[in-house]
Amino acid sequence: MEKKIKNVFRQGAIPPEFISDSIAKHQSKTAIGAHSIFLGQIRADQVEGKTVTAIEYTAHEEMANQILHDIREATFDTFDLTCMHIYHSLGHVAVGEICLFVFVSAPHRKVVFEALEHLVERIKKEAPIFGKEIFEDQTHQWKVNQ
Amino acid sequence: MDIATQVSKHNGISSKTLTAGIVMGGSSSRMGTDKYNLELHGKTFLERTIQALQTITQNIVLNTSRRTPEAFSYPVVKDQYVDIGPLAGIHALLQNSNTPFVVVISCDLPLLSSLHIDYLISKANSVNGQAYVFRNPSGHIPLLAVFRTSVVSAIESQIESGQYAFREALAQLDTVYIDMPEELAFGVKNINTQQDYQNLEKNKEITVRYFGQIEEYIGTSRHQLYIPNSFDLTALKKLLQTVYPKLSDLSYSMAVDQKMITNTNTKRIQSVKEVALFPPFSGG
Repeated sequence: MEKKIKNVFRQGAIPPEFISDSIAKHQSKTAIGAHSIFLGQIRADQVEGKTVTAIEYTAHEEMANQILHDIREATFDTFDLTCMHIYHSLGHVAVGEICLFVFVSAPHRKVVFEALEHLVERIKKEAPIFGKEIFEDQTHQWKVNQ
Repeated sequence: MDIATQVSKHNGISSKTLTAGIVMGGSSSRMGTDKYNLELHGKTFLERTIQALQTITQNIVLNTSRRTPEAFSYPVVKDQYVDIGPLAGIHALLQNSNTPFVVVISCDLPLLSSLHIDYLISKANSVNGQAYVFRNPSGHIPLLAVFRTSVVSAIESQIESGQYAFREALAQLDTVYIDMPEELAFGVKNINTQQDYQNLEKNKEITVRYFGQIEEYIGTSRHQLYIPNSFDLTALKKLLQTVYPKLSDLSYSMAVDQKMITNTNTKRIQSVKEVALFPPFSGG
């Protein structure tokens, strides 16, 4: 059966409470022995004397959701994982706030480290998501992933 | 196109200074019906023309030569002069405009898109003149032109002196003739006969979507285009780069129906619904 495609996008920053709730929800899944979490946070980059104060995210949402679904499926095939969750912000996210939350769980620790790194790299490389870095004087530049 | 000259000069034609006037015309003897009400893939010629203009300006005005039975959602200005051809419509639209520029478009160009109008405006912004018209390779000048509103008195004098020819009026003004690039020619074919109308079925409606920096440069997030089935993606890319030359300098990738494509692609437009232009990804 075709799995339902999840919506990874959240409007604005991902609140820390959302992350702790997410952890709490996994306490009933007692086959899990290890979690690993990646949190992307907006950095106050300095560019030619100006400071980034926020990033505004846009995306081809439908396509990004499909790509992230495919990445999730492929990652389940490659790694022995119990659970996998991906959330990404849309719209305004201020410096210091969380814009990306990736959460993997497995019976044992080794696989969660590998799977998490693999996932984050693929998300950054393959999802059509775009960040506009806003400076304190309201000018902007377009973010490019390194 | 030379980007440097495009940037160095700007006559100030923008969504705020521009009125879009649609000349609906009278009933066509060759078609035997009002052209603006003809349909193509479920949309009338008038609806298509309005759609092409919506990414350019919200300031849209319709022009008719006589009373029409329908109610329209845009203001209608009627001709002051009757039975003299297209100059009457141009005159009425300029006279009723409260912006310094008016783009005048006839309603019988159903394949016209925002790209054509964007191209015309970018050219009109780069050269001094009073009127800017497209000229096809055949020498034909379709009714798709930008006028300075101030030329209304010159056009009125023409009409009063009994000279009703569009070409003649253009010759009296400081007119800039813009050669229609080959890539854009498909969208500026007048529909005059039933045969012309039947041939329209060989066109396909696609959505072109723009993201991030590309959306910012083009000035809109999407265009609806009607392009010939014979087009492939390479031709579409060439069309976009003709109208938006800076695209060639931006690094972008393309997705067709939400699948990334690699290199130049000869995929036919006929089987495509959506093309997306992406700047480099920057999620996370």
